[in-house]
This record gives sequence, C-alpha cells and structure tokens, in this order.
Amino acid sequence: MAMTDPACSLEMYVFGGTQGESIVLRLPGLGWGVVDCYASTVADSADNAVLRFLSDQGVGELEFLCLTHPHDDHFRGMSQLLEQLHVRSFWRPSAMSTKRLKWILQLALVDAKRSGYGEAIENADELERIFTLVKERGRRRHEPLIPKVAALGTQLYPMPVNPEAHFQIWAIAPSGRQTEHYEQGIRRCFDDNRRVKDRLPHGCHNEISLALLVVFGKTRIILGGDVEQQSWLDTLTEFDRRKLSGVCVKVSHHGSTNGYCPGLWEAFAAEKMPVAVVTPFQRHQLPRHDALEYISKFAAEIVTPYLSAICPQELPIPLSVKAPVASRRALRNTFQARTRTRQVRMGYCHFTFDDQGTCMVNDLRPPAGSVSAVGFIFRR
Amino acid sequence: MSPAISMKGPSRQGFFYVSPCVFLEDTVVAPIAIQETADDPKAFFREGLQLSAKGSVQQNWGRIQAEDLEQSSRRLTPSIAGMHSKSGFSRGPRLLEVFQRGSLPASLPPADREHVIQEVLGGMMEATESSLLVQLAYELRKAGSLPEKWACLKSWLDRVEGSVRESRQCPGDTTPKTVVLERLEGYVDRIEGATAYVTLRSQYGDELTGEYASDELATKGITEGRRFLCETVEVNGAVQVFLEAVPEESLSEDEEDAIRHRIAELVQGNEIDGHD
Repeated sequence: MAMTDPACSLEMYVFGGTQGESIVLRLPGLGWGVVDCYASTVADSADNAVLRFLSDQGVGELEFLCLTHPHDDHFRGMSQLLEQLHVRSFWRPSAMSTKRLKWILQLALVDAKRSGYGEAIENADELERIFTLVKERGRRRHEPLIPKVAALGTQLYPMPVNPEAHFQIWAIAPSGRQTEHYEQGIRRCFDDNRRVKDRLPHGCHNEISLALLVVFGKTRIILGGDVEQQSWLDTLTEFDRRKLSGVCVKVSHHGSTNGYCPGLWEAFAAEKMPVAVVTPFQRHQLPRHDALEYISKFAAEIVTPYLSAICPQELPIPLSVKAPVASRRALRNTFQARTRTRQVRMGYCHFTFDDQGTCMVNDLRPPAGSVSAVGFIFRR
Repeated sequence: MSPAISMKGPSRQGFFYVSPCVFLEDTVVAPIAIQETADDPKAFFREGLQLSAKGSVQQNWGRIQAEDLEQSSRRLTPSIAGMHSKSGFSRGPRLLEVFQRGSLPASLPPADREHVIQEVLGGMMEATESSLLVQLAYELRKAGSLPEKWACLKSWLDRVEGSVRESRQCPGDTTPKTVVLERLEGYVDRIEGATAYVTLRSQYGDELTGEYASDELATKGITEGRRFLCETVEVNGAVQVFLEAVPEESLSEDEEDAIRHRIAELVQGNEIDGHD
C-alpha cells in the first residue's frame, strides 16, 4: 500500500511547545479529527497553532473534537475550533456527563474567582465557553453536533459504532472506578446548599482523562492523554492487553513518572517497539528524565515537538532589564525560577501510518523561530 | 497640592501609626497615613485633620475621642489595635484583605460605610507590617488606577514610601538595614506531593515559573490555586525571599448562586450529553 495515498493512510500531527498539547488526525477517509487543544491566548485565534494548521490545510470540518480532561493545557483555545469549524461530534469523558458537568463547571468558576488570579479566571471562562458552544452547535437544525461521553471500552468511531470497521477509535481509559472516585472528590467540595466549600486538587482531573486507541487495520496507536498510574492499572485489568500493543504511543501526562504503571509499556511493546511521542510541560518540569529513561527501554525512539523545552540545562539567572540581578539570583536559587514566556510557540511531530502496522516519522517541525531543529530525544 | 505629612525619626517602639483609609465619597482610596511613633500621638491626628483643612483630600475622620487618642499612645497589640469594636475597617481583617489584594480603590458596602463614617479610624501597626502599606502605595501607582484628581495623593504616597524606606536605614539605627529589591505576585499552579509549582509575576512585568516545598508554603497558609506576595529583600547585604499569603477574594452567596443558576441552565436538557 502506498504510504502517500491519503485515502489509504492515516496521518497524525502531535502539537506541543513549552506547555499544552493537541493531536490532529487525518483519517484514512480524508476526514479530520482533533484531540485536545492549546492556545496561549484565548482572545486571539491567530495564536491558535492547530486552527492555523487546519486552515492552511483547507480544513473546514472536523469528524470529531475530543476533550480528554478539563485541564487548561488540553482545552485552551478549543472554543475557537468550535466557533470556526463545523464539528460533527464532540467527545469527552463520562465523568463530564451533564449530571457531573454542572458540578465541575461551578467548581472551576467559583474557585477561579476566589483565587483572583487572571489566568485561572480566563481558563474557567474558556471551559464554560466550550460547553456553551457545544450546546449551541447541538441545537443546529442542519447537521447538529453530536456529543458523546466515553469511558474505558466505549467505541467512539465510526458512528454508528461498528467493531468490524477498518478504522476505529476506542476509549481505553478512564475506568468506572476512577470516574466514581473523581465524582466523590467533586461532591466533597460542596456543602449541603450546593455551594463550594473546598477546592479540588488540580491533579484530580487526570483521574478521568480519556486515553484513546486508534485502530487502522493492523496499525494501532495509543493516545495517552494525561492518564496516570491507577487508571492504567484498571485498563490493564479490564481491557484486552493484546490490543494495547501499538506502533506509536503519545506518552501520557507529558512524561511524568506517574504516567505509567508496571506492565503498561510491556503491553505497548508486546509486538514491536513503538515510537513514543512526548509533549513537554516545562512549568511542571515534565518530562522527567527518570520517565524517559524507563520508556526508552520499550520504545524504538522517543520524539518531541519541542526539544528545547526538555533539554537538560543549568538554569540561567532569569534576568529582566529592570529587576536587580541580586533579586533574580535569589529567585533562581529559591524557586529554581525560570523565565516564562506567555506566548507559547508550538511545533509538531508528523507521522504517517499504513494499515499494516508501519509508522513513518515524516517531519519534526519545531516551533517557528526555534533553533531546536531536531526532535529526537532517543533513538535506538 | 500634596498634603503635608512630616515623618519623624526611627521609631523607638518599633510601631507605626496608621489610619487605614482615605475616603473619597464612598470609595476607599488608600491608607491615609503611616507614621512612626510620634512623641505626641495627638499630633498625628492633627496632621491628619489638616489634610482636610487644606482641602486637597476630602477625608472623613469621624469623631476622634480623647480616650481613643490615649489608647493610641500605648503599645498596642494587633488584636486590640482596632480602636472601635464596631469599626470593621480599623485594622480589621477585611481592610487587611483589601490591602493585600491591592484592589483599591474599592467601593464600600453601605453597612460598612455607616460604621466608617461614624467611628474612629485611627490605629497602630507594627513596624514589620508597614511594608504592606508600602506595597499598597506601590500597587496604586503601578496600576495607574488613581484618577487625575487624586494626583496629590499619589505624590504623597510616594513620599510616604520614601520616608519609610529612609527611616529603615537611618544612621545609628541598630535595626537591620533592609531594602526591598523586587515584589512579585505568586500563584500556586499545582501541588504534587512535596513540590509546589508556582508562577511569579514581577512588578517589572515579566513572569517566572519555579517550584517550592509545598509543606513550607502550607505553614504560611499558601495552598494550591492561591496567590501570594513574594518580596526579595536585601537585609544587611544578604538577599532574602519573603512569602505571604493573599487572602481569597470574597464571593457572596448571591454571586455564587448566580454562577450555579447559569451553569444549571447551560447543562439542562440533553444537548450536551449525547449518548451517555
């Protein structure tokens, strides 16, 4: 099969920068899908790398848009996709179904307002905006958007579901147990009058992160979202391990050491060593070198859309024209402080797959203006 | 015209007098004065009153009772520094909250306005806490949120801050010489076990990210999703970093109910649920 024939191949673009992640899929039938989104500015869609990319490709319609979990590095800018593209289906974890969504949104909005922190307020507003748009698009007379909630074992694509289809997408996380645990955590944040009395720890949203299994003939790709250890353990228990062996794995939780569990990478690499893709989250010092070292035992290679974000470097003093150097030195020593650039530039890793289990790394495109020309962290 | 406030020499007792606010109509503008312990506390209040007499700032001191002034001359602890139990703004937690948020000018709820106008607003503040007011002065100027008509206050705040800094470095003073190098607004993005990941926004406009021991932050009342103030201070030549929690913004029950109802309306029906 010719890898260049778009109708017979699957393409994947994994976007990442110093933070944030988005995955664009060009499906074998020529349709497009997007999993997560990140734009550093929500006010200006020109800053949305994924939207710009899709526009350059002449894409005006998405087969699906998937929100893996409610963390801003996975949803900022998603409202712009809903506004500017015709989205056929919107996927989210079952833990965000209507009955739980109202708690999640109230919690996010109230907590952000209490914090008084502009970025937190902006993120909570963006989350509300996404669901406002999902509702509006769902009411369209002509081809209304179809929302879907998913958990471990849900077939998401094609629609209607067909387990025999040549191209399929399945949810392989979160488990019902994780969803229930998350829901209990959310409920504990409210008093009897349904007012917010406590905040939900930021990391809890990872409990319900979707992970997707993309199946194209004999080719299998794992998109790990921000799934953490406990959720993966449930997947290994409840899902057929043989189906987890993939040719490419989007490493979960930006290469955190809790982004995998014993036996997981063994399952991923059961048939052949996959290509692993890591999206950095520099602010949280991810990926961790321990995790990369562990993954390198199972992966044919590890690539990243933004190598500069993870290169080990001795931290420079984060200088500013006006700030006293002595102050900045103290901040570096106390906090290991680094300069944060609000304007996150995103690069991408481009892969092409046939339906026989072949993965070809086509292109590692660093963020515009970046000197990081090579995205290989590790090659066997 | 700038109101005249004379700053005395270094405090023997290590206390500052502070009257919390200037009121312009119904708006809290700034702490009206910060002054090191004067020989005669009444002089301080007289100076405060002079502000009004000069007509540059319309302020409202209310009634100043003789016994309150006597009280002021004592070395007060923070717990009794509020000079009247009914005054919610006399060194009260709500005023401190307003200070720490740096969100002045702020409108006063009518109930508070009533107290403020009727009650004495003088008080005392520990020297160490004076930096809070210096911070406020800085915030007000940085934000540029003072309308032109309050320019006199702006210039006065400049001088207050300068005088306080000067007094900290007075020759012969045995107290440590401190210079605030930089002020930053911090935010705890995430706590993961022993590590807190933070973002720091400098007064100079740039942003930093970093990490800190989460348990140390917790002892200062700084938790995930919350803001804090960070100061780098040069103390006798060595630079130290000081952190202080910023209280949560208050959200009334009505405001929260409005959010809840808005969300309930958004999620009602099955348009966003699909095939559950």
